[in-house]
Amino acid sequence: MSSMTPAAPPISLRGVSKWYGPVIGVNGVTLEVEPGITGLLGPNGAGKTTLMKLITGQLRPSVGEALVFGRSVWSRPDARRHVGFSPEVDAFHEEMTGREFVTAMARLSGIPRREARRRAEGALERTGMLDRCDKRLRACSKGMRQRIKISQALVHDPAVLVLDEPLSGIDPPGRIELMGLLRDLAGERKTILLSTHILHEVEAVTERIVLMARGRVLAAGYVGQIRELLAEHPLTVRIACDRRRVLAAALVGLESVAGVALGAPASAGEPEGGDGPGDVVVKVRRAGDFFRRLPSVVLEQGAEVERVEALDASVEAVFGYLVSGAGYGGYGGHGWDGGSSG
Amino acid sequence: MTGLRSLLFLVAYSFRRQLRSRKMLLAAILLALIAVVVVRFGVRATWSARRFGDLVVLKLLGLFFVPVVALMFGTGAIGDDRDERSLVYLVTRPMARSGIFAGKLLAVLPHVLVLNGGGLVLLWLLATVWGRPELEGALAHYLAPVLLSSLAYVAFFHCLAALFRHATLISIAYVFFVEVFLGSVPGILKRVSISFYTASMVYGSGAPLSPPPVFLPIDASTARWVLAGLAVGFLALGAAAFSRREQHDPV
Repeated sequence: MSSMTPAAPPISLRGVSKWYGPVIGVNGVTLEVEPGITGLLGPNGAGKTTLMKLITGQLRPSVGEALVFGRSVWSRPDARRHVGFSPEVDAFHEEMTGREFVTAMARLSGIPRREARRRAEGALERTGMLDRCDKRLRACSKGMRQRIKISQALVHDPAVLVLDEPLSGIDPPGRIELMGLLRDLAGERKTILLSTHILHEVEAVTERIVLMARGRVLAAGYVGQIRELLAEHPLTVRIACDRRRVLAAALVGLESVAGVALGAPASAGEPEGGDGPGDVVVKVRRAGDFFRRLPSVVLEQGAEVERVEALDASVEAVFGYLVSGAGYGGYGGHGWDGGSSG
Repeated sequence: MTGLRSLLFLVAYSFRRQLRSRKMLLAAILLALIAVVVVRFGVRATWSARRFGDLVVLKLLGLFFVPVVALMFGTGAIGDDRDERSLVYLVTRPMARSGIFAGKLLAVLPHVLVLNGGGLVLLWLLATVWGRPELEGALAHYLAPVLLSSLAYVAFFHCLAALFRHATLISIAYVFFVEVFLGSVPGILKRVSISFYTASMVYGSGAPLSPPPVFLPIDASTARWVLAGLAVGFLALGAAAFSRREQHDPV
């Protein structure tokens, strides 16, 4: 790590475009990724895999620069020392065992033999593969192969991890385990760029996302921040309180509120439009303004609020909105088909 | 130091992988078939140095076995990783791409030289069982051309693998059209083939073997330098091409 430029961000893309002949893979992307986990989301053909290949030095930008700690990852082999990559493609040197493969990858990273063996064991242990790593790769299940891929990405202890669909093919307990590993790695100040098509997985490990569609980065930042930027798209907030009618009347006067509706009463005997306990569903124009004003309105009305929740602030909701805005009109939260290659 | 260590490991690692490949078996089968020809001919007639040079060195080895072995290993050095889509594990490691290219060539070189040079020695040993006394000194004349042409061929095919995704098909077409066909037409057109320089070395090596009337060989020393130059030139060209080209699946 001594060769890193101290002030440089782990991953930095400056005006990067990538063409494959007449086809554009990535279009004018400027992005910085900081330590921690960042989810990379987008539908098929969005440019996710191309972006990852640019960051790992497999592709040369047609325009712009892809830098890791301030160094061009395409032209500087030493920059790749800081990068671990787990590709989506399910390919290995099939005749080897998992242990042999991960050790070989450590040695290809310039680690001496004994140290490479030790590190390979460590990486395999972290991914839960140590007890199964002496099996030939061709005989391994999809989940085992995914873990081996992650192990080889970790084996040289890189500061930047680029993981393309790392959880695909892994069973639910395994996913939880690996998500825990990702959180641990993030806790070690590693920079993890993670692409996955299972949106709730992203939400389970990070709130920081990069949304791509048609080769462009549509949004990058925290889910909540991105949601707030969408001022013209109302956020739906449900407030469970004791005096829902009074609170609804007060909220409707706020500039940031586009509409208010009374939700279900808290108890079955309560009339639908009554002033007893229950939900108020508010359509909000600017979430930031609304949440700043909400406590004072609640106090003014003497209401007691049990719960406030944003109904559509999930990554999926944000993504659905953004992608439909980018021309993927058919997306309604159900049209997601895997995003296998970008 | 770390980069050098990576590259040295790459050479050893790729060498071992090639050693366990089916190519070794295929090369052994081809060599066995040629050995059968040598034995059958030896049983029926005695091998002379001239006959051995013409039939075994120039035709069976020079136009068939040497290019085929160089083709298999030359195009496979990178092509095998590309075909199994595992090249990603190499190009994302902290190694210069030109180093990866050179390392891959170094890894297959021993296989090619041992198979071709060893093949020649084996066939010569078989021929000497039914050979005239002059055949015993002939190996010295033929070994250098076989080894140098192996070097030129493998560098050339390895270079093609850096330039083209389907290098094996291109290489097969090259061997038949350029080496076999153009290499045997009268005039100077045959000088585009590597086999021409191999044959020129053989004819100029002092072996009791003279070229056909229309062959017009160049002198052995020039041929030697041309073959060595081709090997170095294709290595440099391939390394430059591999450094500049992206290794990715088609979109």
